[in-house]
Amino acid sequence: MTTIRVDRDLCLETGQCARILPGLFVLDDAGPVRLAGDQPSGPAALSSADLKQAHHAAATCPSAAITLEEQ
Amino acid sequence: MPNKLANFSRNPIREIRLGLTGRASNRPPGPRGRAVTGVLREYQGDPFTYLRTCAEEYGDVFSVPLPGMDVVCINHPDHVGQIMADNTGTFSMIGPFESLARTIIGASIPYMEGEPFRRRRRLITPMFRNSSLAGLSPAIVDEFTHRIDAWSRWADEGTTVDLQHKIAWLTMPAFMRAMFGITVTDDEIHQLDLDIRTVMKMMSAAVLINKPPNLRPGGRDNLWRAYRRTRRWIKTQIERRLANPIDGVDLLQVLLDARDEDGNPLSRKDLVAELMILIGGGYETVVASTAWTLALLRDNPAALQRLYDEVDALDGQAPTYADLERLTWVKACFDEGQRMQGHPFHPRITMRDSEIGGYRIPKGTIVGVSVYALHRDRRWWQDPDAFDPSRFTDPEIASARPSLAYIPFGAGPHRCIGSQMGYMNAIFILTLLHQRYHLDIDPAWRPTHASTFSCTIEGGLPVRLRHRQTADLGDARQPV
Repeated sequence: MTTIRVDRDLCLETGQCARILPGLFVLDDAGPVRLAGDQPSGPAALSSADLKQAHHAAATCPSAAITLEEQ
Repeated sequence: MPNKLANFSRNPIREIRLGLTGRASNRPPGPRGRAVTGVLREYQGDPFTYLRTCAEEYGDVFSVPLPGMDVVCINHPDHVGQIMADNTGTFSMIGPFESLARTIIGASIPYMEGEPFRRRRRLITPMFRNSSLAGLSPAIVDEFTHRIDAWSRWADEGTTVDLQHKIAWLTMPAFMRAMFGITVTDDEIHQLDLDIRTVMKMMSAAVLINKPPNLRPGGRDNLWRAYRRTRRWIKTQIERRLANPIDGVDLLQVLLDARDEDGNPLSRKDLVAELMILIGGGYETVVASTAWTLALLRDNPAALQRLYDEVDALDGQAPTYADLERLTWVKACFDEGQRMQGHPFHPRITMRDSEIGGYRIPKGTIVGVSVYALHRDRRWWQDPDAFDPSRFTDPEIASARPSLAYIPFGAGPHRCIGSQMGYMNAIFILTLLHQRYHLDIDPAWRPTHASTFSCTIEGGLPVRLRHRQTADLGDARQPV
């Protein structure tokens, strides 16, 4: 299983990840990006459908704020 | 075997140690070079083309023999991720020199690693967030606007000016206004511009792009004098601010108010170091990339016309932060300008024995990527030497290449923290400039890279400006 975390203190609010995976990353007026669900910073389990795009979001995050971990 | 002998002669002690510990085998291929100097002559002659040619000849991992060391150059997006997005501590920006840099100049994000680096980056991040930039943008646009308007004085006169230099006189005062909330005088711009370029010259000398500045006391190009003068200027701004607190927020105030997890502010030494690095990285880089974009736009009239169409849709109004989302073609032109500009070598230091692409990379090896070669690799870029901004707007083309095939701001944790500010400034400048003027560039002139940290255009960007006229617009729109 792969989990995802977001370091919200590092987020530059570019919204790039939210454009890649709008169902997972939420960026609104409330501040830095957060993960959809109960825990804004994660960890959250990734569905296999999101895996490829989540890797893309992590690789292109301008502040390396997104990390994926294999459990 | 010939390669091994060549290595041996360039750094025999290291080669003996590697041989004794069984780590000398399976090293990357590469040019043999001369006994002592390796390929220094070819590299310094044109590091951009040379490393691109090497990548085409030797593949994605190759050795570049230079005096005292064989550096390793990588040329595949996967390997870029391995060395630049590394979070295992295997590859480092500063390596064993971290404490030395901290002692001499103070701790600053390019020269920090691990948890201290992440803490510092978190501390500085708020001032580069979209929400902060939106607040700073009116002052920046105002600074750009009145300076670009002042170019009217020599527009239409047929006078050729170095627009690259003129753009430095836009970005420097705008950056200082955003950073310190002050309007710098022309004398200050002149001196800071000279001094910061001297200090940056030392940084690019570290990767052998150019000779170091004058290290002996005295003389105009003297590193120590330039460094001390810039530090003194920054300290003065800090002391002024502490004596006269402001109600609003600018970048200096964000840094002064920043506290780490233990509630401690930045030390004065670190604050000065961070500000100096931010100034150094924050203005000349935009100058260079914007100048390259303008120089290359000339080669693609259709792209230029589309840019005019997009900026004209603002109906002559100065761009706002909200407009940045609409100015997608301007951004694509800037992205394409940065792609073709490139950078010869972004290095990392190998902190423990590693392997890249099946080749052994011993601890201590300098590994880097030629951004120029990566950005012109035919696997990811069709017709790579053509200026075509649609590479960045066509979703099919953009999604077909690996994300790390394009790294104008670096990648991973050390990716440039000011990239969004860079985009904002460049898009504002390109928009305001094209709302007002046509650029005439001699058809015979070609841009070439200068040997500078920011990879500016050698000799500048020679341009004659003309005010835009109704007839130029090709329809009934009025000139701005």
